[in-house]
Amino acid sequence: MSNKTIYIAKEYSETPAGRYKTDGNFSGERFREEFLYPALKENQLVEVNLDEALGYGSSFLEEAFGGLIRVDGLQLTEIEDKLKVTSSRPLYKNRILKYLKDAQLEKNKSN
Amino acid sequence: MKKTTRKQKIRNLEFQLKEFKRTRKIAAQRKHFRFSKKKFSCLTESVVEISAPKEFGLIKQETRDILLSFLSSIKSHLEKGDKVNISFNDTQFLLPCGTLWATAKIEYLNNKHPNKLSCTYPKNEVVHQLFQHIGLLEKLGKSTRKMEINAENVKHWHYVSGKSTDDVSKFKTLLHSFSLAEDTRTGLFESMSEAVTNTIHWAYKDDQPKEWRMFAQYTNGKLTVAICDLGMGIPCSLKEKPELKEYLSSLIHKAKNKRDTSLIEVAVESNRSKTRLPHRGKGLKDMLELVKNGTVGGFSIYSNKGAFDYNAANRKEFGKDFKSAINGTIIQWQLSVESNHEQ
Repeated sequence: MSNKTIYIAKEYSETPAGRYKTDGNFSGERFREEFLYPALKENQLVEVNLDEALGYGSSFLEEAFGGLIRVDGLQLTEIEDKLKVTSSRPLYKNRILKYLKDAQLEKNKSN
Repeated sequence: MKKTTRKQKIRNLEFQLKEFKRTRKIAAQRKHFRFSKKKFSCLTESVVEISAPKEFGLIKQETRDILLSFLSSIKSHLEKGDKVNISFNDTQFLLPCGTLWATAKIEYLNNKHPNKLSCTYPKNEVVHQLFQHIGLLEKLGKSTRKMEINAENVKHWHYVSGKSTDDVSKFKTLLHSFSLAEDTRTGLFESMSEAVTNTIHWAYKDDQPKEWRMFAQYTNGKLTVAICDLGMGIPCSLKEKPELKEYLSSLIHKAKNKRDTSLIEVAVESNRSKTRLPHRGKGLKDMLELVKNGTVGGFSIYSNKGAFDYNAANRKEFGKDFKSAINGTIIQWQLSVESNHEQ
């Protein structure tokens, strides 16, 4: 299996926004379904580069990353092994990790 | 086509006379509307002239009431089938929230009742420039006069609208027009896109268009950005959330007299231990954090009768309930911008 890097600003949108596909064409849900989840299934290591975009709202990030656990059924440990987030703004990495942990906690509670 | 009889014409005239007297009485009471006698002049179509208020503001109760009565009057006449001509002769002061709200409402009514709404050119130069700059005069059928937009407090107004989160790409021009610190620019985009996402999710019923509008104004070193929707308002959308059922029936909420402001505070706090909100709804809290990181400016929410305000200078939050509701939501940020703002 190979490695893959996704450059969100270049490959998806410089202004990603929204949670669900019904919100708009550049939502977190669409990014997860069409870019992130397939890449994680097909590759050993996936790097997501967040630079060059204007910014990422919490709805986009939570749905794109937290949704991997909540919707796609992945485990936090599995994601931590395979996913690398790179950004010149460290706060994004922290936020994404928090969304992943929260999603795992919610999932554990509901099971 | 059925011909109108003389008797019917007289009856119509009598009805219009009665209607005119009634509206004139209301106008006299409120002192800020002028109704044109054009309404009398023909039997087939009536044009009602309504004067826009001197100040477009929503923060002071008095100006808020006047602005909302003005908009409500336009709406009720259009719904009756009248044509309405808005006179901007008296309008002199345009505050971001009030102007955004009035523009949004007028544009909405203009789309809903095509060819029924018109206006006069504003007498005040700055008001004229601004309404031309944001395209309002053109939308109301006034041709653009060759007027240079040179007023300092107009040049730096930006106005965009959209119907989905795709349209947040329009913020790019605004955010690159000012020499904002990188973190501020990014934070502002995140907050604005979250406000739009909230509008799309919660403001409207499923069958309604998810419209939002944004105004930005630069003045005296401060950038003010406001985003609004004409939806059900935060208090109503919260009441529809099953996750909040327990909180809404709690003694804490009852003790706050079920005020709109207390519900807006709940939405801002998004404190799951109190409200049990799920992963959604963190946006408002993030928006507040953006302003809390600075020392100049503020963050405000106006929704229905409620208002929430955070002042970065004294780091204080306060809520206020107005007597009149706007039926929708406005979210506003104020941030300090370097003096060399325009790039």
